[in-house]
Amino acid sequence: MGEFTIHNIRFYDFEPKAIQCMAYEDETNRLALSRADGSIEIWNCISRPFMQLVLHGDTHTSIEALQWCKGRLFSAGLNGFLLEHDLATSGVKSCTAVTGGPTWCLALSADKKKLAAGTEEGYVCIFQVLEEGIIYENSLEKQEGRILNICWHCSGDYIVTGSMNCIRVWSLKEGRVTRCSLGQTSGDEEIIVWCVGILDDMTVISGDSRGAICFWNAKLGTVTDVVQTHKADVLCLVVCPDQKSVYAAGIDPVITQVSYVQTGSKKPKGCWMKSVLRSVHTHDVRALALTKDEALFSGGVDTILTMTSYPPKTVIKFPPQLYPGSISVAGEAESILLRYKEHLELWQLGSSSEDSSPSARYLPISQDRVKLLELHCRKDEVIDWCAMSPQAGWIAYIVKGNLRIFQFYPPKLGSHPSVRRVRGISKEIKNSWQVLWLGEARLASASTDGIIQIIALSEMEANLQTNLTVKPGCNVIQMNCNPEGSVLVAVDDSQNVTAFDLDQGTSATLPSYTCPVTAIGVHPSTKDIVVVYSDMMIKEYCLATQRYTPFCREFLSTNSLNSVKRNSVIHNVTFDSRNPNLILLHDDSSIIVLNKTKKITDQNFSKAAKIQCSYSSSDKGGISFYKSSRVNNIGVFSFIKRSNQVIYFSYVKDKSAVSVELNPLQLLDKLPPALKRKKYGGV
Amino acid sequence: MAATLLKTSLLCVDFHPRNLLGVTCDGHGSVLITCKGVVKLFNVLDCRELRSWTTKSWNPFTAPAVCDPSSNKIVAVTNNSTLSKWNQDEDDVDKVKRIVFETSILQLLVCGDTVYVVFTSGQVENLNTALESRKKAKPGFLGEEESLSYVQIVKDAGLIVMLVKDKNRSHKLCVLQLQETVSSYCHSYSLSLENAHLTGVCALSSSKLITLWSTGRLHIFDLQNEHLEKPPGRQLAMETSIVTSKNTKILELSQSHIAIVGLDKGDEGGLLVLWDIKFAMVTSSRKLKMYQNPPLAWVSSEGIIVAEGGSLALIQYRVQESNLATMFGAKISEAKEFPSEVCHSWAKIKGIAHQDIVPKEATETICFNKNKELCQIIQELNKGSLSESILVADVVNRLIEKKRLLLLNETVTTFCDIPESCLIDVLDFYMHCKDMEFEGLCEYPHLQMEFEPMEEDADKIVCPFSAAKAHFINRVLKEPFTNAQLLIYLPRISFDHSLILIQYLNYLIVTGEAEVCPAEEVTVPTLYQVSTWLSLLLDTNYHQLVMTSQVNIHRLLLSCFTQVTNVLKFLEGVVDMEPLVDRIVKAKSLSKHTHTSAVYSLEHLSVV
Repeated sequence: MGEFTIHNIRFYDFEPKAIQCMAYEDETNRLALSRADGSIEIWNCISRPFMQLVLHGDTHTSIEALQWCKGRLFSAGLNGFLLEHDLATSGVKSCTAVTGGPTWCLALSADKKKLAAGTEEGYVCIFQVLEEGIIYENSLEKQEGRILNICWHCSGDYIVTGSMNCIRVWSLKEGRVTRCSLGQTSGDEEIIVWCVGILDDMTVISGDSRGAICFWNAKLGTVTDVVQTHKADVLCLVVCPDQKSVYAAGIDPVITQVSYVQTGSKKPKGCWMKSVLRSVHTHDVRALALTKDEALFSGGVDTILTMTSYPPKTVIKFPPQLYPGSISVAGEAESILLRYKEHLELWQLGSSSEDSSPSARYLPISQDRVKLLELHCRKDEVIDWCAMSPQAGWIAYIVKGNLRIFQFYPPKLGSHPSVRRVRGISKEIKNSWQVLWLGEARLASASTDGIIQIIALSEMEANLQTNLTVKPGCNVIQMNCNPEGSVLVAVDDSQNVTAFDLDQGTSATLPSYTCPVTAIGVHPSTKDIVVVYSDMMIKEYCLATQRYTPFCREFLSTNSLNSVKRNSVIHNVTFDSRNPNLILLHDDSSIIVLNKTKKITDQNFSKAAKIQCSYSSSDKGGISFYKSSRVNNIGVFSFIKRSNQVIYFSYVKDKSAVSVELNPLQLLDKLPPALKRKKYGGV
Repeated sequence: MAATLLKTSLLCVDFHPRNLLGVTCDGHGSVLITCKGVVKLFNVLDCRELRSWTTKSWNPFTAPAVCDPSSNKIVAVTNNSTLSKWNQDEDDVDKVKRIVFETSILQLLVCGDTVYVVFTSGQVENLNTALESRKKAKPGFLGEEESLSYVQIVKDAGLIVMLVKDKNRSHKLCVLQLQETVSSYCHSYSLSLENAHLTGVCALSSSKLITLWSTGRLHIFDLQNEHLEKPPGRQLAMETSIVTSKNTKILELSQSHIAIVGLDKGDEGGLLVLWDIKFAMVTSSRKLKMYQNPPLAWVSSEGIIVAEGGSLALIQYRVQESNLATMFGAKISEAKEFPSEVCHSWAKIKGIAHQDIVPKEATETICFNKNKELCQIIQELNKGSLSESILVADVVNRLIEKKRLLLLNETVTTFCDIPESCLIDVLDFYMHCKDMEFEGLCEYPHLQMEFEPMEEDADKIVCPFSAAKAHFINRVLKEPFTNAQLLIYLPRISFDHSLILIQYLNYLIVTGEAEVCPAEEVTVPTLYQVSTWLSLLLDTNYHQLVMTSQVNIHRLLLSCFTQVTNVLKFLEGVVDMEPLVDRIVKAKSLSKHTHTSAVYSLEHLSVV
C-alpha cells in the first residue's frame, strides 16, 4: 500500500529543560508550566492534555512562580518583576516591579482579587488584580531572610510564608506576625522551609529540607504532627480540595500522599499519616499541581510532565514536546531546517542507492546528510520560530517578534552555499510570532494583533500583499497550507478553523467542535482540510463543497482514534502526495497511517486486533531477508511503533519522509545525578 | 602438575546462608540446593537454575534433598519426620503425598543407586525398607543424650562412619556395616586427643578417616586396619593457615586430596585449603569472603561449592596424582646417565609399560628440547635440583657475561618460567647491543621499517631497531610476566632506552604489527602485550616524561595517545558488535531496535 523511506534524524540536539514551577486553572482546564530556560508552556487539558502554546523566555532570567487568575497568567522570577502574560500575542501585557527584588513565590487570594509575592529580601508585596492590570497595594513588614514560599488562607486574612528555619503567619487585619520556629537539627545546619500550605481550619502545612512534612497550629505556633515522608528536601506540596490529603515531593522524587485519618474507636483522634506513594519520576520533583478531579500534575528535573491519579491507578507521562516552529522541511529540496536557540542549521538529507525493492529494513546510505548552512542570529538573541520554503530558496526566522528573511543559494559546482538577507521589509509588515511559507517567495505571517499578513518577496524586498483576518477578537495559534500555498488554514484561540483559498480570495470557517485542535493539514491534491482534535477525533473537510467529506461523515464521525487507547495527541498531519488516500499522522511514540481505502467494519475496528506484520520479503542470492517491525493495523489506521520519541514527522517527497526522534536514554544522560537511593541487591 | 584450585564462578544468589541446609549432587551434572523453604535444581556447568520447588513455611525442609538415582525422583525430608518424593516435572510439592515416620530423620544419603535414610536414633535403612516400615519405631543404637554429628558412607569398604557426640561434647566414632536393608551396628571407638577438641572430620572413600583437631593437628586413621593403631591415627601434618579452634569442614576431592574450609588465620574471612595427603602438603588455597560457623561447603563433580557471603560460589579444581616433579613446582634438572629415572612416579600399575606411567612433565626436564651448548652451560652451573626460575637467572647472567645473543634468545624461547628480573636484564642487554651485532644470527621475518600514517600532517613512523634486533626484542616482549613484579625491575632500563622502547612499542601499534589475536607462528607480541609493556614503561618513567621539555618526546607521547584512542574506539565498536554476533551465534532473530541509536539512518517502511 505504502512504501516509505524514512530519514531517521537523531542528530537534532533537542535539549529539554527542567520544569521549574506549575499552575493549574480549573475554570479553563489549563496548566501553565515554566522551564529552566525561562519559557512557559500552556497545556490544554480539556480532553487529552497537550501543549497548546509556548511563551518563549529570556535566557537571562528564570520563572520561579506562576499563578492563574481568571484566565490571566502571572509570573514572577529572579528579575524582580511581576509579569502578566498576554496569551493571545504570546507577549507580556504588563510588568510591575516587586519591592524586595528577586521574587520566589506568588499566591492568589481566595477571592482572586489580590496577589502576594514573596521576595529575596524578606518582603511580602500585595498587589490588587484589576481588569486593567495589577496595582501595587502595600508591602508587609520586612522580615529577615528570603521568602521561599507563600500561600493565602481562604478567608483572605492570613498569609503563610516559608523561610529559613521558620514559618511566619501574617495576620493582615491585625498586622501581626506569628513566627513558628523549626529550631535547628545539629550545629549550624539550617532547616529550609521550601513549601507551605494552609487549610481552612488554620492548620499550616510545611515541607522542609529534612524531608519532613510538618503540621502546625497556626494560632498557637506549635507543631501538631510531623511526618517524615522523604529522604531529602521536600520542595513542593499541594493540598487536596477536600483538605484531607496533601501531596508532597522534592529531591527525593517519590510523590507522597499524607492523609488525615481518624484513629481510635472510643475517642477518635485525628492525625496525619503517610499514605499512597507514587514513584513516577527519576529526578527531583520541583512542582506539583492538582486539578479539582484530583489529577496530579508533577514535573521537575527529569523534564517529563506526569499526570497521576488514584484510584484507579493512572500514570500518564508527557515527554517534553518540541516547540512549534523548531523544524521545517523543504520537501522539494529534500532539506530540513533545525532551530536552535541562537542559530539555525540547514541539512540536506541523505540518500540510498538501494533499488525500489530494498531487502533490508535499514538501507545503506550512499550519500550521507550534508550540513549546508549554519545561520547565527545576533548575540543575546533567541530564535523563536523558523520556516523554510518548499524548494529551500527562502528562510525566515523570528526573534522577539521581528521577522528576518533570507534568500538561500544552494551550493553549485565550484561554489559554496550562501545566504542574502532581505533587508527591505515593508513598514506595513507587523511583528509576528509565526510564519509559514506559501510556496516560494510568498509568506504568511501571523501577526501579534491577530491578523495574517501575506507577504510577497523579491530579491531585495518584502512587501505586504494582503491582510487576512480570522474571527474578530481572536488570535491565530496554528497555521498550515498545501505545498503550492494556495490554501491556508488557520486555527484561532477560540478553536475556530478558518480556511482561506488564496487563489480565489475566499474563506470558509469549519464547523466548530468541542475539543481543541491539535493538528491541521491541507491535502496537496484534493485540498481537503484534515483537522485532528485533542479527543483524537479526525475531521476531513472539503473546501470546494464546504462540507465534511463523505468519508468523514460515514466513517470518521463514528470511529476515531479515541477508541485506541493512546495518551498522546496527534502532533502533525501530513500527506503522501503519491496516494491521496493516505493521511500520515504522528504522536509521541508512533507514526500513524490512515488509509481511506480500507474496507472495514465496526466490529474489526472496535476489536482493535493486533496484527504482526512482517515487512515485505524478497530473495537475494538465495537468501531471504525479513524486515522486522511491528505495524498494528486497527481498522483504517496502521500504527508504526517507534522505539524513540517521535518529535517531528513529515512527508518529504516521492517516497521519502522524515522522522526526527529523541532517544529518551540520551536525555537521561544529560540530566544531573538523581538522589542516590540504596536498593536491595543493587550498588 | 600439582593439584590446584581454578576459577570461581557464581552459582546461586538468592538465599540466606542461615536457611541453607545442604547441597547434593544428582549425578547428571546438576546439584540440588536445599534451603528451609525451597529446593533448587541447578545445572553446575552453566550455573543456571533448572527447577525449584517451594514448600509452605509451616512445612519446612529439614535435611538436604537428594535425587534417587533409581527412580530419578527428588526425595526430601520435611518437618524432621516426613518424607516427600516427587518427579522433576512436579509443580507443587505441597500436593505430593507425604510419608510420616515414627522416628525423626537426620539426613538422606545416596550410595550407588540406593538412597539411605539416616534416623536420629542412629538407624540407617535403605529408602524402600524404611518406607515399608515407616510406622515402626527405629530404635537405633544411640543413647538418650547422644546425637549424630557426622554420617558418611564409605562404599568400597561397605561401611557407614558416624560421629556421635554426647552431652559432654566428647566424640565417639561408630562404624556400621552397610547392609542392603537395615545397616547393623559394628563397633565404636572413642575419638579424642589430649588438650584438643575435634573441629573437622571426613571419611575418605579409601577407608581412611581424616580428623582435624583444635591444636591444628591433622590425623589420618585407617578404618580397615584399625587393629594397627588407635583413633585418631597417625599425625599427618599441622594445619597452620586455618584457625583450627573453630569448626572446619573437610571435603574429599580425590583419594589423595582433600579440601579444608575454615576461618582464615591471617584475615577475617574464610579460607579454602587444598591438601595433598600423600605429601602432606598444601598445594593451593583460596580466600573466601566470609567464614560461616559451621562452614558451608560441599563437593560436586564440577567443583567445590561454598557459601560466599550471600551467594553460593563454585570453585573449580584440578587434582592429579602427584609426584615429586609436580609437587616441587619445577622440572628437575637433568641427571647425567638416566634422564627420567629419578622422577618416575611411584604409582606402578601392573601390565602397563613403564614409559606410560611416567608423567609427561617428568620427562620434560630442564634440558629437554634445548641446544647442546645451552645444556652444557646448565650442566656447568652444577646446581643440582633447582627450580627453573632460579636456574634461568644464573643461565641468563652467564650468557650476558659471555655476550651470547643467540643463546639468550634460545633461553628466552625454551624456558617456561623466566623471572621478570631476567626479562629486564635480557632486554637491557639487547638495548645496549648495536643493531649490527644481531645481523645474521638467525632468520627473522621481514619488517616494514617505515610507516606513512594516513593523517595528512602526521609524522612518519620509523622503527628504531633493525629487523634482526626487533626480532630478538619481540621474543622478550612476548614472554609472560606479572605486572607488579616487572614494575620493580623496570627502572633498571635507562630513561633513554625506555624512550626507544616506547617508540618501538608505538611503532608496533601504529603499523598494526602487534595484532589482537596473532597466528601461533607470529613472533611479534600481541597488542595486549605491547600495550601492557607501554603502560608499565610510561608508569616507570612518568616523572621524567612529564618534566621533559623535549618536543620529540611530547610528539611521541601524543602519537601514543592518538593510537591508544584509536584502538579504544575500535574496541568500543567491537563491543557494540558483540550482542549482534552473539545473536547470530545463538541463531536468534535480530533485534528490531538495530540502528535505533544511529544519529542518522534510512529506514525502509512498508505499510500493508
